[in-house]
Amino acid sequence: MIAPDATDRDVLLEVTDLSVGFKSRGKPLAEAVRSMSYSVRRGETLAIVGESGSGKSVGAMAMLGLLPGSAVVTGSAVFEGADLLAMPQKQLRTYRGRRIAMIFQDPMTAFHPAFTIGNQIAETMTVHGLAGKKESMSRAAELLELVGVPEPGVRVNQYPHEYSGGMRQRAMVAMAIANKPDLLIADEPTTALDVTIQAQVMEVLAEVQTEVDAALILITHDLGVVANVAERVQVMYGGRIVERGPVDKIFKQPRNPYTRGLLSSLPRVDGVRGDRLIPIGGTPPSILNMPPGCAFEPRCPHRTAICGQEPAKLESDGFDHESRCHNTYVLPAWEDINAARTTPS
Amino acid sequence: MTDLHEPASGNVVAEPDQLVELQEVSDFDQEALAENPLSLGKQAWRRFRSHKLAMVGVVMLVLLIVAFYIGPLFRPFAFDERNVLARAQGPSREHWFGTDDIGRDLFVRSMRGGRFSITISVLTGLLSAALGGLLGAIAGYFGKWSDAVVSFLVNILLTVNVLAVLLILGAKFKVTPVVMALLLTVLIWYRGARVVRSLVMQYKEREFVLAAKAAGASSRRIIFKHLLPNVMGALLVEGTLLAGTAIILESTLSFLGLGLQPPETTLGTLINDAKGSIDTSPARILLPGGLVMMIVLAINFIGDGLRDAFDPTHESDQ
Amino acid sequence: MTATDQRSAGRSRASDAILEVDNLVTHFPIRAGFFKRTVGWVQAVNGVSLRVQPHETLGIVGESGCGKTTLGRSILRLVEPTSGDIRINGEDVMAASPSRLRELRSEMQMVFQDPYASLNPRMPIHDIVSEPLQIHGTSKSEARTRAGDYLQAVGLLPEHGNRYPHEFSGGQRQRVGIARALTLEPDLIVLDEPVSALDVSIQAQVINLLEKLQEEFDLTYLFIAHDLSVVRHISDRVAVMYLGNVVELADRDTLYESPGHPYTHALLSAVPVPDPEFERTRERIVLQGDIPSPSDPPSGCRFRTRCPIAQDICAQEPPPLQEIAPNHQVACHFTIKPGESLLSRL
Repeated sequence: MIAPDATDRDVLLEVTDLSVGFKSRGKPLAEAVRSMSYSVRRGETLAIVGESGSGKSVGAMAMLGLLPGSAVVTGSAVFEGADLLAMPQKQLRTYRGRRIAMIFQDPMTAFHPAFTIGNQIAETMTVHGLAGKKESMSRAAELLELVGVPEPGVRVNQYPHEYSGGMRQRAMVAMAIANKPDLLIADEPTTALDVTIQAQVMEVLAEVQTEVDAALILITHDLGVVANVAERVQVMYGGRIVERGPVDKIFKQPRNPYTRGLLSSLPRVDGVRGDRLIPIGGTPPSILNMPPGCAFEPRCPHRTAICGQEPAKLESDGFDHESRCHNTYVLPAWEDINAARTTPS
Repeated sequence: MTDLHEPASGNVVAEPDQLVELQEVSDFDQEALAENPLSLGKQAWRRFRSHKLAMVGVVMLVLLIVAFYIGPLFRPFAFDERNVLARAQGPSREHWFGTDDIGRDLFVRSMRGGRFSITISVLTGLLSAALGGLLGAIAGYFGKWSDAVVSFLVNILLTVNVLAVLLILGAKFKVTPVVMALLLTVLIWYRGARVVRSLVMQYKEREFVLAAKAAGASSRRIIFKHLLPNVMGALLVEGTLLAGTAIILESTLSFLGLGLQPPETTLGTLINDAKGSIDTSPARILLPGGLVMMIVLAINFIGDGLRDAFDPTHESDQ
Repeated sequence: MTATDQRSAGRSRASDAILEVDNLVTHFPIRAGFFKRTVGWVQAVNGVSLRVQPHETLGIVGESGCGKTTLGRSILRLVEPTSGDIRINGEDVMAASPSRLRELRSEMQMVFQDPYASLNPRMPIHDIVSEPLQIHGTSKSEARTRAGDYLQAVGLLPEHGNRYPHEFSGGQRQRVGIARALTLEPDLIVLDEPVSALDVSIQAQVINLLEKLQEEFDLTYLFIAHDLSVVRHISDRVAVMYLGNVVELADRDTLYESPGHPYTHALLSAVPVPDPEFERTRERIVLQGDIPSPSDPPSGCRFRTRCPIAQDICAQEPPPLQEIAPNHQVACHFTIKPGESLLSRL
């Protein structure tokens, strides 16, 4: 969904220096997210891209207070004027499911197996005092219809195990929008689904987002899904944002070596005959064993001495495209790298 | 070929045509593995040692065993030495645990009984784990008939009053510690079998078992090389639990009359003998009972530690 | 003579194919009740026929319930097929005795999907890789030495052979699995979703490795995956499966550029492409409804419940897999012509 010029909409969420570490006895703090700052405007779609260990999910869960007790969270996440990280649990609960809603990856475990889907959707509404019992049940059926669940009147009284994976995911979307939230956070919403079902769910998500006029933070590792849905993209690696910008620029003119590495290593369904994959060597770092300087340094083909010593700062190109790299201005041109992919060797 | 792990003293700002070559070099990340590998056994030992409760259990058990063997040396009485003049006395300086109805010193008897209690429980733990493990593995792996037979046996065990049957049969034999261990094994082997069977049923569908099959492995190889090693941890833990159960069960058996031949005794028999003196001399039950409790606790703590030690993905400080 | 030639000497073959599969059916019984009666069947593989030529990579794609994993396992008889013929290098796999089957196993091997479940957590790496050799009679020490060679071939250090799987990353474990599949020097390797469980940046490493090994060891691949981009990259020919049947089989470029089956069209349409401009302008076919269960498939053509161009005949007669052009087979009553788009028919 492409929105009109983003800059004149209000800022809905402002995250500043968010850091998340996990305590572990006898070991130093394992940093999963390191000083992440970003903002989301009303109605926009931001994709946060990363692989496992990048910290992409942890950051979002931290905002909603969904991390285990061993997590140490610092920084601020100001949502419509109030800092989510500084407020007491009781107050945070009035935001969760009402102003900010989350859609999880595994629809099977996101629903309670012993209650009907309708019951659970209705509960979201009654718990926030937005509807009475009867009204919330009928609204639940309406929501199921909105997300395309067939026979909503019947399905609303069924249990999660009676739904297929795709339907459960849609039901989760229905539950998320029940209270017309201002912000939706979807954490790998389609990773567990077949590709034709994924297409259905992404379509539904786009529809409801427009209907409710909510902002969407889409967390995923699938660059195809990002290209489909996002307006702005934020790439994460080793707990830090390494690149950020409008979706077209990120895909057509990536500035960061990691982003470039990812794009070069993707096989394409619209692939050119004989194109080669250029993988990124090595393995992603574990949060227990982060390199001292730039997290990507051990795998970066463009690394220099300083990269191993200190991490770079996130620098803008003067407009809306930022990258975190010491060597931003001495990297070869992206067109040349891309060309190497199709050059017969 | 450029090695990605050269010290980056100079600039490594690779040009596009170099990039393709660079990435195709072996990309084994040498830093991902720890410097000194420990064998799986050593790693398990390390984890066990750092488990505080397990260490407490080990210490307790060792102290108890030492006490049981050395304790009687501190007193001048033999375990079967009667002294009619000193019957049914409570704990005193002469008789630390008091005496029983025919004047035998209870401290010495408790120590001696403790030895047998431990011997029987360890033996039972081993036997029932081995028997249960083997039957459970066969039932779990081959399914169908073997599973039906084993399940049938277990059902009989649970429904028929095996205890009564054993009592009747046992009355015909002289009960030595080994015989006692065998009797107890018959009663509780199914617990190990249940654990192993369900684990084997889970593991046999795992891809590493399929891979072994794809390489042509025989059922025997799969059971012994692939399934049992993975089940061993749980079986060991179950074995310790069974050992703990055995002590208590042994007390029950001797309570019902099927104990070791007098004058030999176990802690269980002592408790049984003291049942008439609950009101007059509670120490007669509490003291051997306390020892039983300590043995069972120690065994359970050790079992906890073993369970954690045998999970190869477990962190020692969690 | 190559190993393949040696093996096929003296066997009857219908073609030069390394693998011939004819009408393979694998149905699993569903048992219920106290007496475990069979109340139904999961029709996982429902009559699949294909040929795999030496040195080629045949890709098999499909979504959940299509039976591709069961197909791979049935071919190796890791799962017993219900009926059908399988020939490797001309020899009948279904008729093989247990001992003959063990020997045949050295001609076809498998790489599994889950790097965390496909290695025995209690065995050191060199034992895992050398086990196939040991099973087939090689001494332990020699097997371990050869294992070291294969570890090196997949980009791992033989010195790390005495480590355990949990000490390696997912990508490295998958390499161990590949090394293991190589040790018996098979002609055919069935790869069941070999990169799906890996991080994106590691997938490319393993894909490149597989291509390199195919050249180096003269291998034939049956590549099973749900990811159409990966399959496009690595395959020479592709088969699309739906609910136990092959619905289309074609050369790689033909399948991706001018598919004949409506399901293939929909599948390709559903895959998001990492190109925002293209994504914005493309018109997507979004199928309605869920994938039916393989235990209760629709009558006639199994795709008809979701097919946008289904007609009455589709419910009555299952369409056979027919050759509509050289090397292009489609199972549909209303095959879409090259150049035509499914959208134009809606």
